[in-house]
Amino acid sequence: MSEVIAIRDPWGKATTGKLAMWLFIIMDGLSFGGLLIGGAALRLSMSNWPEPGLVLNIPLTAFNTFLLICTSFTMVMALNAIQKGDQKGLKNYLAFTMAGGIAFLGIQVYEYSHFFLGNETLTQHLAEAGFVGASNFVPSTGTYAAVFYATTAFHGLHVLSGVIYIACILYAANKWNYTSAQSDKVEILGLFWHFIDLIWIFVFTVIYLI
Amino acid sequence: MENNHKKTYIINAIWLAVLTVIEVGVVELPIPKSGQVILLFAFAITKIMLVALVYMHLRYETKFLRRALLIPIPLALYFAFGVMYDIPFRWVG
Repeated sequence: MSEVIAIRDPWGKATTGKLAMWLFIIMDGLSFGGLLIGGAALRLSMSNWPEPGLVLNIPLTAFNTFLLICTSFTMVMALNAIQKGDQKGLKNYLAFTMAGGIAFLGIQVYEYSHFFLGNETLTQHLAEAGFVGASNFVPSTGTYAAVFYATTAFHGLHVLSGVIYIACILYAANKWNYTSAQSDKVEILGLFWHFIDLIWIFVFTVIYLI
Repeated sequence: MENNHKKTYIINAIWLAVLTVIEVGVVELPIPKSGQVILLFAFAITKIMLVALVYMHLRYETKFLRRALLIPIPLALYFAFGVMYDIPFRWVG
């Protein structure tokens, strides 16, 4: 008499693609962890570190954080739409997410250009922060600047990758008319995009607010 | 059911936005720096959990997957503090 043995899959309904993305997220998270912990270690070893908001623009970056939160919402709504078989909803929400990602990058480029070009107010703030004589805020301005650019530029590259990834899925969804059977592709994309948001929460706290 | 999901996602987004505003406010609070750091990390971890559990659907995954993803975090922090411990004793040439 044969016996039926029920085997519970420890990964549940997660597809291999989804597990692979989780694995990638863990590895990428460790890269960010290295950058943030390295930055924290450098900071602890420095006697002079500018107060929050003295050089970096907190209100503008808080708005950027809000923007990224909104894109996380539109991304999860895109998944919700395709799970119901709503192709139009998927395309619209993905387009909103992509637009939000581009806007985030635009604000970051604006922030960088403001620092690179410099102005009187920035020079004054840099002097107050201990960078006397510096007319602009570039990676060579000091350890503070190096930590800021290394971390935010690495994150910005992730946002750019995410925008390209969304564009690819949007193209595929248009060409092959995604149905709920292809929702795992959107879910995997969503994991990457939410990870970008998740990392930004830490970057915003560690680099801008502390 | 779908409407419930949508409602949950909207409420989550509102909480994330509210916590971000509170975080910015904490920087202006007249409290010691150590207190600010503790509060800011508490809010950041809360926001991260909200994104991971609700938007990344981690709360719907199996216990095994959740543990596989969450257990390395305290281990990473343990190693980080282990490395940083030697900062006060570093040799300055």
